[in-house]
Amino acid sequence: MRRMIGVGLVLLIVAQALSAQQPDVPAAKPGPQEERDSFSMFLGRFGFFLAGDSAFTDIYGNGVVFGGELRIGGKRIAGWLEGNYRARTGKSSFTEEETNVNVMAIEGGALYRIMPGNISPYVEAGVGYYMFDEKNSFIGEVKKSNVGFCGAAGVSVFVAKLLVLDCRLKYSTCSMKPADFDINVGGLTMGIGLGARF
Amino acid sequence: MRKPPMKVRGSAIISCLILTVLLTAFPIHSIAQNQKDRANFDRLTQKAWSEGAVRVIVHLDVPRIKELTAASTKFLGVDASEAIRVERTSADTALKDAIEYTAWKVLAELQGTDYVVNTIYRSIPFMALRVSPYALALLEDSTTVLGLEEDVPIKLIEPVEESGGENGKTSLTDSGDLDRPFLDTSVNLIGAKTAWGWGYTGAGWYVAILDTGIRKTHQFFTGKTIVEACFALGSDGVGGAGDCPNGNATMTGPGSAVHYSSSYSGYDHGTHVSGIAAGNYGSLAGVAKNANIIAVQVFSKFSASECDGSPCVSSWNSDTLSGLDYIYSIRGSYNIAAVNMSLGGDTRYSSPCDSDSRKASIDNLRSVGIATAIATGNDYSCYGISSPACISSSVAVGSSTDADADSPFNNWHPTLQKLFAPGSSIYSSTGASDSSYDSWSGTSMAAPHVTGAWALLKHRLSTGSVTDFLNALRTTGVSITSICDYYTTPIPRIRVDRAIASFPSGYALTIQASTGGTTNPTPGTYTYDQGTQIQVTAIPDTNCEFVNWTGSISSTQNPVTVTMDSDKTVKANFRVKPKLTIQAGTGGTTNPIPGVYYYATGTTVQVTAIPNTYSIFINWSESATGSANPVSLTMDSDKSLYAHFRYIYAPIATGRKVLNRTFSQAEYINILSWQADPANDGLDIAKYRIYQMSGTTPSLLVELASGELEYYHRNAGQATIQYTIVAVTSSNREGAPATVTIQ
Repeated sequence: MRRMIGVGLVLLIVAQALSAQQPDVPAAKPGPQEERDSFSMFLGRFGFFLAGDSAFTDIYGNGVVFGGELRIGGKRIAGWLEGNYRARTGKSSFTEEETNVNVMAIEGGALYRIMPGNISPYVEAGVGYYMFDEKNSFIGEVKKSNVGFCGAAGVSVFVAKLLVLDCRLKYSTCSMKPADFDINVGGLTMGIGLGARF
Repeated sequence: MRKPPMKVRGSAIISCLILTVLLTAFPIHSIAQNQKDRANFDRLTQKAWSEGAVRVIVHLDVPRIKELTAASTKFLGVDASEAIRVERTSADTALKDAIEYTAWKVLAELQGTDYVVNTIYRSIPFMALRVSPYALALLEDSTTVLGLEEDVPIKLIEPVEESGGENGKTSLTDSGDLDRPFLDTSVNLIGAKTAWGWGYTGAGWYVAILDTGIRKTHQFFTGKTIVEACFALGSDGVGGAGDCPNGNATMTGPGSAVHYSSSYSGYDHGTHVSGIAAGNYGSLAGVAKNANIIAVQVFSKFSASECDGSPCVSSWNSDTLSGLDYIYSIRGSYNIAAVNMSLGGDTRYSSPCDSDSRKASIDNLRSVGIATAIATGNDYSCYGISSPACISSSVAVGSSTDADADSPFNNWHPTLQKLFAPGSSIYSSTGASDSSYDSWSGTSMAAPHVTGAWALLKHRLSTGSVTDFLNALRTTGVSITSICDYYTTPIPRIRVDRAIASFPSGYALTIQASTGGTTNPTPGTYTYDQGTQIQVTAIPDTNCEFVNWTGSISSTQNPVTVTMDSDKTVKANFRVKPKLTIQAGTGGTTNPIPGVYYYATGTTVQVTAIPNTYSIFINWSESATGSANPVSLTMDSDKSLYAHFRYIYAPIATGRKVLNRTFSQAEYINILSWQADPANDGLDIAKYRIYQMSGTTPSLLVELASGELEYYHRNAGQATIQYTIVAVTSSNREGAPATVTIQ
C-alpha cells in the first residue's frame, strides 16, 4: 500500500516536472492561460463497475464503485493517484447463502492530455494495488492482495474556473488466487468525477 | 338329695388340715426312706461285706418323674413327622437329663467309696451300680434313693424235656398223651393263618426279642429287617468290658446281637424264639410271618463253674433293663408291636412282683402301646410264676399243648398268668446252621406266639392299646383250666383271629380321582381302623392341576389327612391347567418362544415380544391387546396371544454431489434424497438416521425428522462416500438401511 502511494507520488512529481519543461508555457509568471493549462485537481469519483471475471458477475453482479483521485499536472502530462472501493453482497452458487466481497484499490499512473483546453480528453495508464476480501457464512472468509494494472480514457471539462467535471472509462486487471479459484478482481469502470482544480 | 350335716363336713375339713400339716412336716423322701426294705438292705450289706461288693439297681427319687414320664410316653409309635420327632426327642431328653442329674447327685454322695457305674437308664429312674459296703451304706442313707434291688443274673428259661413234674403236674409224656405240635400246627391253632388270610401278617411291624441274640443269617429270617443291640455286662457284672461282640458291655448296630457259640447252653434260644414270633421261610412261618425283628442280646456268658457244670448264659437284671430301656428309646423309629422276654428267675411269685425295677420299663412300654410278653417259667409250678412275668403290667404267658391243656412244665397261676399259648414241641429255627430247626418245648416257646400275635393285632389295629389287645385275647381265647386248681380257673389260650374279629370293623375309605390325576394311595377302597389318620395325596398328571377334595372332605389342601371315624369317600378333582398359546407373526419371536404352555391357575405369565432386526413389534392380539411389551397375563382360563411385527423397509434414496461456490471459494455438497417406502405406511416413523460408512462401520452423521427427505452433507469433499439411510420408529427401532454411494 505504502509502495503504491509512493509510486503515485513519484508519478505526480514526474508529471509536474514534465509540465514545467513545456516550452509554450511561460515559467516566470503564470497568467490566465497558465491557469487554463493546469491539470492539477482533486476529484471525487462515482462509477459503475462491470467485473472482468464472469464468476464475479455470477455471484455478485455488477455495481457501483466509489473513489477519489488526485491529479497533478500541466498542459499535457499529469500524474494521478486514485483510491477506490467497491463492496457487493451476493449468494453462493448452490446454497445461495449470503456472501460478501470488498475490493479496495489504490492506483496511480500517468495521464496524457490529448487536447488541452476547457474540454480536455485524456488517456492514462498506471498500476494498482488491489485488496480482496470475501466472506461466506458457511464456507468462510479469505483475504488476498496483489498488484494489477489499469488504463483509462476520459475527458475533463472545466465548467468553471475551478470546477471540473470528469468522465472516464477505466479498465483494470488483477489476478490472484485467494482460495480455490484463480480470479480477476479487475474490470471495466464507467464513472464520472467532480472535482476542483487547483 | 340329702346333704350331710355341717358338723361332719367340718370334721372332714379339720382332718384334711391335720393331714396336710403332717405331710408338710415330713418330707417325701423321709416317707420314701421309711419305705426302703430294711431287710433287703441288711441282706445286701451282709453280701457286700462277705463278697467285698454287691451289684445293685438303685431306684432314684427323680423330681417330677411322673410329669416327665407322662410327657415322654405320650408319643406312640413311629414319629409321624419331623416336628413330632423333635418334640418327642425333646421330651425323652428332658426325662433322661432329669434321671442323669439325680443319678450324679447320688453318685456325688458316694465320693470316696468304691463303686462302679454300670448303667444310668434313660427312661426310668434307676441306675445300676456295683458298690462296696461303705457305698452301700451311703446309698441306704441317701434321701435321693428310694430303694435298692440286687442286680442278679437270671437264667434263660430253657426248653424242657417234657417229662416229670411236680406239685401235682404230670408229664404228658408219661401219660402217653403228648401231642407234639410243629410251629405250623401251633400257628394254625392260634388262628394266625386265618389272620394272614385277612391280610394281617405283621407287615410293617417289629417284634423285639430280648434273648440270646439271633442267627440272622438263618433262612427263616430271609428278607427281614433285623435291628440289633447287645447289653451284656459279662459274668463279672461290671460295666466297661462285657460280652458284646465289640468286647464292651453295650453295642448297637449290625452284628451286635449275634449269638454266642454252641458251647454255651441255650446260646441259640433267641434264634428259636425269634423264629416262632416272626420266622418265615418256605412253607414254614412264625406267627407274624411278615414282621421284622429287633434282636436284643441281653445274656452274658457264664463259665461251667458258675453254672450247673457246663457253660451257660444268664442275663443280669440290669442288662434286661437296658434292653427294655433301649427298645423304649427307639420307639419313634420303628413300629414295635411287642417285646418278648423268655427269661425268668428261679423264684416263683404268687402275687405281683411290682417292686421289680423292670416294671417301670414295662409300664413305659405299655404306655406307648408296646406289650411285654414274658414266659411264666418251666418249673412245673402250680403256685407261682417266675420273675419278671410276675410283674402285673406284663403279659405273662404260660404254655399249653395243642390239645389245649396246661403244659406240665408250665408255671401256672390263676391271676398272674394272663394267657396260654402253644409251647409244647414247637418247631423253629436253631443256631446250628442257617437251615437248622428243632422242636423245643417251654413257656419260652409260648411267649413268642403271643408276641407274634400282637404284631398281627397291631397290623389290624395300629392304635390298639395293650389293654385293648389283652382284653380281646382273653375274651376270645379258648379257656384252658389246669389241674393246679382242679380245673377250676380258666385262662384263655389265644385265638388271634377271633381277637381280630372282635375289633370293630374298620372304616372304608374310598378314594376317587377325576380325570387328570391320581392319588396316593391310588384310587380304590381301603379299610382302616377307627381313629386312623390317613394322608391322601393328589397327584396331577402332566399339564393338569389339583383343584380340590370333595366328598367327605372339602378342602384344597394337598395332601389331606383323613381321620377314619366313619366310612368316607374322598375325591380328588383335577383339571387341565389353563393353556396359553403363543404365536408370533413374521418379523419376530417371543419369550417364551411361540408354542403351547400350561400354567397353574392364577399364575401370572409375562410374555415378551422380540422383533427381528429391521422389524418392530406392533401389538398383541387375541387375549391381550395393546402394544405394551412385555405383557402380563393371569392364567385364569385358556388364553392365546399373538405378537404382531412389521418390517421397516428402507427408504428409497438417491444421492449426488454438487459444487457450492462463492467468487473465490468452493465446497462440495453430497446431497442425499429419499422417499419413505409406501410399505411403511402406518408405521410410526419418527425420524431418519444417516450414517456415513467407514468400511462396514457406520458413524452417525445426522438424525432428521421424518418430514425431511433430503440432506446436504456439506464440505463433503470430492472423495467417494457411502451412506446408509434408515427409518427410525418412535420406539427407536431402526429399519432396513438404504445404501447410497456418492462419487
